[in-house]
Amino acid sequence: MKTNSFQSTLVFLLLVSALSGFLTACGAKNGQEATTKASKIVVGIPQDFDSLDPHIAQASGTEEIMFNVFTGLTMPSTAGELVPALAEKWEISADSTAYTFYLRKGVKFHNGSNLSAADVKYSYDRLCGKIPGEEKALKSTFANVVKEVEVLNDSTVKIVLKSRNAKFLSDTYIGIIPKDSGPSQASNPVGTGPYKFVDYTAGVGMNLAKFADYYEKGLPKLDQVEIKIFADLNAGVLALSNREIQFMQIVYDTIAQIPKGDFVIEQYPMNTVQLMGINNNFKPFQDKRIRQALNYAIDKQQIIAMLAPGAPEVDSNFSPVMAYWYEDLKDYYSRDVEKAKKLLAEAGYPNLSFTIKVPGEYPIHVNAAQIIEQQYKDAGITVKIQVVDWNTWLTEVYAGRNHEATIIGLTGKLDPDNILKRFSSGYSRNFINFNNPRYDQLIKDGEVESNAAKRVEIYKEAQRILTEEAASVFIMDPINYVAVDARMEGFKYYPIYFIDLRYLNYKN
Amino acid sequence: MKKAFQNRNLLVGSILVCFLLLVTLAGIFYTPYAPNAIDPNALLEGPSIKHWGGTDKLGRDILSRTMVAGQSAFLMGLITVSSSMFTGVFFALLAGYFQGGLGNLIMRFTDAFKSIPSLLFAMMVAAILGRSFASTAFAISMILIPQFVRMTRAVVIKIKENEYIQWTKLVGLGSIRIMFLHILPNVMSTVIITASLAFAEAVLTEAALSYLGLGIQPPDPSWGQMLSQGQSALRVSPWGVLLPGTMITMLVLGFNLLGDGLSELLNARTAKPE
Repeated sequence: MKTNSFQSTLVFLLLVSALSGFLTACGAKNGQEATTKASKIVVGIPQDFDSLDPHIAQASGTEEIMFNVFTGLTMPSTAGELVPALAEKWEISADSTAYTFYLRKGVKFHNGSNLSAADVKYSYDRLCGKIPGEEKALKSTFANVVKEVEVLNDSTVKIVLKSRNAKFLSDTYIGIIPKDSGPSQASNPVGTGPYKFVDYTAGVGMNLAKFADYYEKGLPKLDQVEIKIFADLNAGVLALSNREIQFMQIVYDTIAQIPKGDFVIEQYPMNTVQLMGINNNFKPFQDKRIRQALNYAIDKQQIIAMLAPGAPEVDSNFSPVMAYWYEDLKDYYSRDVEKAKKLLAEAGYPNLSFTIKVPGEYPIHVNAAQIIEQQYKDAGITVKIQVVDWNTWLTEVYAGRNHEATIIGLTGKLDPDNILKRFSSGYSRNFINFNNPRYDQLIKDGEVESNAAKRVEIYKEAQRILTEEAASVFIMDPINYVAVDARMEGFKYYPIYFIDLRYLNYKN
Repeated sequence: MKKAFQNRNLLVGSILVCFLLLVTLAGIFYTPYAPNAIDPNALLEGPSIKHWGGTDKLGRDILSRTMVAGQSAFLMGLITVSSSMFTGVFFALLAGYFQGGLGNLIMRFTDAFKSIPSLLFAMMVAAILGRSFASTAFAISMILIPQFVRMTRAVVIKIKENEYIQWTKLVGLGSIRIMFLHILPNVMSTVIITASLAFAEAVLTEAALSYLGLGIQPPDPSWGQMLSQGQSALRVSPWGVLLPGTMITMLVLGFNLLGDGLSELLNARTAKPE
């Protein structure tokens, strides 16, 4: 009996390792079978859909897929400009308060009906909450902006705004749905996009099929698309290396695990700003000198080299990807530990100490926090890291503003107003509590300015204020890494969240 | 004493545990590098003369981190096992001595608590109390209590039937005195064996929680956290998980063997409880 239990422990350990080896081998075999179907692509995504209804969904992760099911009056180009989609062209009235859209002829919905001006009116009325029985729709900003929608004729529609609003047009990419289809959209989405909805299982994924009557002839190229949800990135990476999926966004750490030759890693800037948001209401951070010291004490290049090599450095909440609006403030603060120490001493906090709350779901932010903790040590600053889960982050930090500092990425949008408004004092999610009257005024001016050149100047000044006032520590625009099956071609990337499946195809 | 050396479980178990304890204690006085120091010029390096255990993706020395992580593992084990032992044994004495009303109540509570999956319970505690060493220690202590109660109570019931205990009742000694002065010393062997096994479970649970990001918080290292970080770079640098993984295995194996060995040695005369 004595020796037996020792031996049985060993036998048990051996059995476990043999079993796990066997299971791994099985996994690899299954994967190879999946790749033989040629005109189908399996796309891995990290999170479930928040809603299938295009007017209710809020998450960028949902939008990036559903762009293939729904098309709006306009859509973004790869350069981030607005290009015609369901509207062939549009006219803006002299006072910039009315937009007339001329609809493309012969566009069909997935249910076979033809697109008409009435569908556009229905969609925008629904977005404004004017459809009886569906009042609590939906993307609330439209209700504040749009006054009314007039049908001029079957293929012309006029949208009248309450007041001048320079960014209205950039929101018109939102999907158009057939008249009266609202209540069924969440279970059976119907749009005019290149792919039509087949089925959806919560937590598992979605199937899409080619829409033969899509208005752009010859597109899309593939017959079937399967969207698979991998809540755990490592599971997704395993599926990639087993060739179970052909397309997935990954992170830098995992690139080395993707089998070379089978996959091409596409990289492009995210149009996202990773920042250490510092709460401007937290006692020490009310002093501009301390905020500047935090900017001098950080070594952004080191963070970039370790977490996302090749990523552009940023100095305000704006990515250089949006070149048209971008104010180059590079090296406004370059690393100077002595200067940081001096500023801290002047402000009366030679031994500054604060806590960074960081969402544990994002390794890039947790790792950045650990690097910053070491860098700040050089300047005598003590950093404590508190990892919280995503929901806690959203309620405590983002909505509750209960933090001293946090590290997060803020996603870019097509219009600078959507990006920079985040730090105006009246904005409900101004989680860094930035408060600058001149900045607020600029954001107000920018919203109504119709002269393009003047509008650029306004937003450039706003970026300068963020940097000069050291509103936060803006770090970098991280790189997006996407693994695409090496047998495929036609991948296009956009400065907003949009996985364009139209041109993807297997090479011959 | 001779018997102790002949017991292979006990021997191997104590060697493993002593070795790990030594490595961990050494880490208090000396580590090759500062455990949290990053080095952008040495990312994901393999084992070398400079870095015996290689480096992780922030260029931190894995050997140093493994040594320091051992401290928190042992500390966590020590705190959780001792606190759950005191509470568990106390309730076990009550439940065993007062069979019937109070005893049943305690045992039903224990059963109900035991039916909650331990990891799920720990995650719930982390969600409510936040992620920290203290909340993890609290969760693991709670998880360990039922096994102390069950194992000890079984022995208490058996001992209670012995004539010398019956005799103490006859001479009119108080219940408290009987429980703590006359029964307790006789259940200690069971308690020690249970503690040894519980220690292994505590370390394993802590590693699992840290692996899920709920235990020891970065930048401080823990074995479970090092495993989960090393996992994403498994193909390029397998040594990232090698050292912490080996440590967990050795510690759990060590304490299990120690527990088995002790039980063979101490319970040689009596049958194993349960």
